Amino acid sequence: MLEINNLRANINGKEILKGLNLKIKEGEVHAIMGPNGSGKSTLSSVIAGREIFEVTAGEIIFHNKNILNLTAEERANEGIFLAFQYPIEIPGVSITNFMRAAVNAKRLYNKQEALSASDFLKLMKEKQKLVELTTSLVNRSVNEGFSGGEKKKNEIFQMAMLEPSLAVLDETDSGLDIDALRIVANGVNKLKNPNNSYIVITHYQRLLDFIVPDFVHVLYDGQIVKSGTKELALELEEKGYDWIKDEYHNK
Amino acid sequence: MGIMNVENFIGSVKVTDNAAFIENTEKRKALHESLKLKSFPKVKDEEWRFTKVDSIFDKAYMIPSIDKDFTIEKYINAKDYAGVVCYKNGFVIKIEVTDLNFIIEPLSKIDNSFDNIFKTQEQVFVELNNYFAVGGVNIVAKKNAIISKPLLILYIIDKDNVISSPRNVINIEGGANVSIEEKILCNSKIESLTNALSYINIEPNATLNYYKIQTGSDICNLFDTTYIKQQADCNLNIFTLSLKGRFLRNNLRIKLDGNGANANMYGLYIPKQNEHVDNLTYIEHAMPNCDSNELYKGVLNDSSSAVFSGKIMVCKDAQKTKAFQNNKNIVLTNTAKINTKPHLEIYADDVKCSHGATVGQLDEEALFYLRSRGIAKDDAKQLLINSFIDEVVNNISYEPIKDYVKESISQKI
Repeated sequence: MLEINNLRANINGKEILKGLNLKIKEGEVHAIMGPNGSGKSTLSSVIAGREIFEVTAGEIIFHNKNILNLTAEERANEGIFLAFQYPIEIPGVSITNFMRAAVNAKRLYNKQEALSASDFLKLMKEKQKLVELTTSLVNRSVNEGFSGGEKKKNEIFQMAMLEPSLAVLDETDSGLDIDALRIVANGVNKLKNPNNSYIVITHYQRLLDFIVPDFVHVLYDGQIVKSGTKELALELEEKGYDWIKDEYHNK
Repeated sequence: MGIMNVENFIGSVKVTDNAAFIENTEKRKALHESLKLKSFPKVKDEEWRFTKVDSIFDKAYMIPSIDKDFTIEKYINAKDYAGVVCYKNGFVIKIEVTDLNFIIEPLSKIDNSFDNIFKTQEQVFVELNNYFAVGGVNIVAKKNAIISKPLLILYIIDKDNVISSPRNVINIEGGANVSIEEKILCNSKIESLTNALSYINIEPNATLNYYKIQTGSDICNLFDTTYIKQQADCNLNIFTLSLKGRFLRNNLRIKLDGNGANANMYGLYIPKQNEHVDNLTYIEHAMPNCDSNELYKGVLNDSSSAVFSGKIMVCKDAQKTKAFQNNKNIVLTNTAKINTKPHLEIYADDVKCSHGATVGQLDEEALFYLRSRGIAKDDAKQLLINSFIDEVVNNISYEPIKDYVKESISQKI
């Protein structure tokens, strides 16, 4: 469903992604690990269509369509979702209004009618349960005054509302205590099905105990330098990244 | 015509009916003598630094004869109001009171009792208003009257080149609780000039909600001067909502002249294209235990410009004052311009005061966040702008006015 070929991307003239390749099939979970500054968050931003990054080469094929010319909103409506590492606080915009706009934008894109108010609220309630997000939070402004855990739960809640076919979880585990981590991971696992895929970006093995990946990749210096199965994550946890860096530089 | 002096300007105004003026010949002669010595504000005057008025007075205006032809239903639904005062091209052509707790009479003589409260740089506009006024009203809200529907003061301009000088003298008697909506609508095809003047006195324990809804046209120029005196323990909520107009200058001066008075001042301006909105506010805490709270917000598009100049004056005797002022702006383009000047002057020593101003652009991070959920860029911008504006608009307690304002805003933005 997703094929990234020779992807190169700059920010402010500095190259961050330097010919990245990645293939993901339906129903797969891919973990991307790597030291700080290797380009993990850039990759998620470029997939989601953030305009401050300039793509200089390569392609991103999603469901047989090169999406590089699509806007962020078009990519979202095609089925891509980014769970932000640092979800933005938007004072004055309620989560309900925000999600209604998002859900109906996607329905419009797919030439479906907008949801009625009652159907929408029903959907909200159902998806809230999934990540144990209380109603009082949903009535508040987007992420305003939320704790770190609440913000991440809210990301997964939004994902549940929008039912993407590809979700990129950008360090969703950062800043979470073990209980919140379990809730977030359970939410993700409940949403998993044979048709949707996940890219899980993380520094830590512990998230991968809850969301078990089919493949683990190491991103370093803007490229995928090593791929393996979930055992690779355990090896990284034990040995760190130095051996990978050595391997890469001695090539 | 070159740079206009006041005397030439007065001479250039074409008057259709000399008997129409409120003021008698003698008083107008005296005003004429006084105006001869005055000049229009220049950018070197502190309160007019960012607003040039030359191009507005450098035109030939006229005062037409009274035209009572009017279908109010064309503009409003009269049953939404406790009473209606309608000015057309400066003439009062309709006074209708449905709630008898409002007493409204045409103004037969000019009350100058307010003129000395505020010695200001807009004195020339006050005198021009007096000199050219062909219509005015005296409004009283009776003691202890509680009226939920607002009284409407409507200014209609439908002739080209008109100069109109509406004049309202309003007294809210003790314990009354009332609302007044003031609305300007322009249908002329050529520039018009409205120089409105309102004096408002709020007696002890009364509450006044005052809504100025400025929905002129892109060729409508408006100077609006409002002087308010607040007595002990009274409340004022005043909204200055500048939704449309080529040139808008609001002078709002409030004196908290009794112990425990409370004033909330809200402002919103959303200029587009070449519109210019200038808000001058001045609030004087003359007595102890008064609260004032001011929030003005602006969203500027295209090549529009705006000015906010707010001053809080806390006098020596005004102990236990609480006074807060905030001006926040979003500038949507590189060509729009805002000048903001929050100002605080304190002579009492036991007070809580703050003032501040912000100017920024739409938050790119927030915009991307909304778009990443599938919301189109323009809709995402709209969501962010609405949330910014709502902080002002949500303070409007009368729902029909709130709905009207929200509708007008969404049409414009």
